[in-house]
Amino acid sequence: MKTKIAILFFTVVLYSTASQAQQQKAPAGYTYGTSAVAKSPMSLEELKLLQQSLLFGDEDIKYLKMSYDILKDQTSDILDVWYGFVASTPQLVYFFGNKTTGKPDGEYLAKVRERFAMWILQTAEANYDQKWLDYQYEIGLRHYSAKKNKTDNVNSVPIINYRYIPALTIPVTTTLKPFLAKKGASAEDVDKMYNAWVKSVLLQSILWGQPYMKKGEF
Amino acid sequence: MEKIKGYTYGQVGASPVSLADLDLLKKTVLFSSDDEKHLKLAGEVLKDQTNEVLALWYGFVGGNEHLVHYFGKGGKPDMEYLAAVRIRFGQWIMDLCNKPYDQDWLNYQHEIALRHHSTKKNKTDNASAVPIIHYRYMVAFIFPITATIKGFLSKKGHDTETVEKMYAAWFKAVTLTVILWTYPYINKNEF
Repeated sequence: MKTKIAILFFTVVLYSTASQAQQQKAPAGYTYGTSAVAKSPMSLEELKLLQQSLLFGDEDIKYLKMSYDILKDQTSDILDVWYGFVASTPQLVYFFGNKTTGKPDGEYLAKVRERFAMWILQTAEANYDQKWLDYQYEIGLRHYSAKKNKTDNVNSVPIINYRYIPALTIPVTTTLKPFLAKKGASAEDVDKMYNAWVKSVLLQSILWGQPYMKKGEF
Repeated sequence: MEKIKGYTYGQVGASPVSLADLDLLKKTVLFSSDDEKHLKLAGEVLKDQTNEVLALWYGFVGGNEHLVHYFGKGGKPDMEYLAAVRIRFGQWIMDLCNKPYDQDWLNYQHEIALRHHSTKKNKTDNASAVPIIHYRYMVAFIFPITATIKGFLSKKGHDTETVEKMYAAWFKAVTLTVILWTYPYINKNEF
């Protein structure tokens, strides 16, 4: 009995330590919720109207949260698929290229990848509050000439052209669906999680587009 | 066929987007020849349902004050404008499914873009509504016009797999199209 309790205690302590470590060790350049992130020019009220236009509601929040537990230990596999797609699509890998040599910058790709994993979890957590909204603006700026390359101090092309941002909604969500189905959720739940993901990714790509828009046209 | 007022397919200026760029964009949204095939099929399925589809979409717009805003001025929707757009919108459904995505198609997407943007909004119908449809709502509209089409695609007895394929093709086509519509909103060289 004593041994059992000791093992249980040990497991609980180890488990919680590991999970805390995971939470504390933010990837380089990941500044979500910190004072390094400026306020989004968009208000929460405007965000609400935009969500309404996308038919994004409480049920989507519920299904995104459901997807969190399903995806949390699959982020690396998901990123393998996404990075595989980018690598095999020259017009996309271009944006990770070294400006001088034109060759993909492996270190840059690796650093972005760590933050990309956080993005998956953040999207699934679905706490779309002011902090989240502000961080979407920050992500937008990091795709845009204002901040691209700066976070990782790299010498890559100066901007990701806008058109590829909303376009990526499709490969990202299409390839995510099988991962949503991997943990035994019903086909109906998988569909609902998938739809919630499509809406959220589309919403985010709209927000990321803000710096690209002419004044007053966003 | 009766002529649609303001519908000028094949008679518009050149798109600033090249066919080569369109091709890369198609690849990025995973648009394949299988999608083309299923879009054609969707065209068959939808051709006698466009009125119902539009009734649903207009119902959605009408139910959202911040969207109907773009069809009026001072909070009052311009019914004549809404009706004129509606006829072209029906034709757009058919064109999305049936037209080859060639230079004419590309050019017309740019024309549609300009008609959402301040460059040409209201001009076709000589309306006096607000001067621009904001970018964010135009892109957001991808979702409702995709999600709501599924019910119509399944109305003609196709199996689930075929409906799913038509639906996926539709989603890609709408996304591709709306991306092209954003061109006039974007700073120079950033599209």
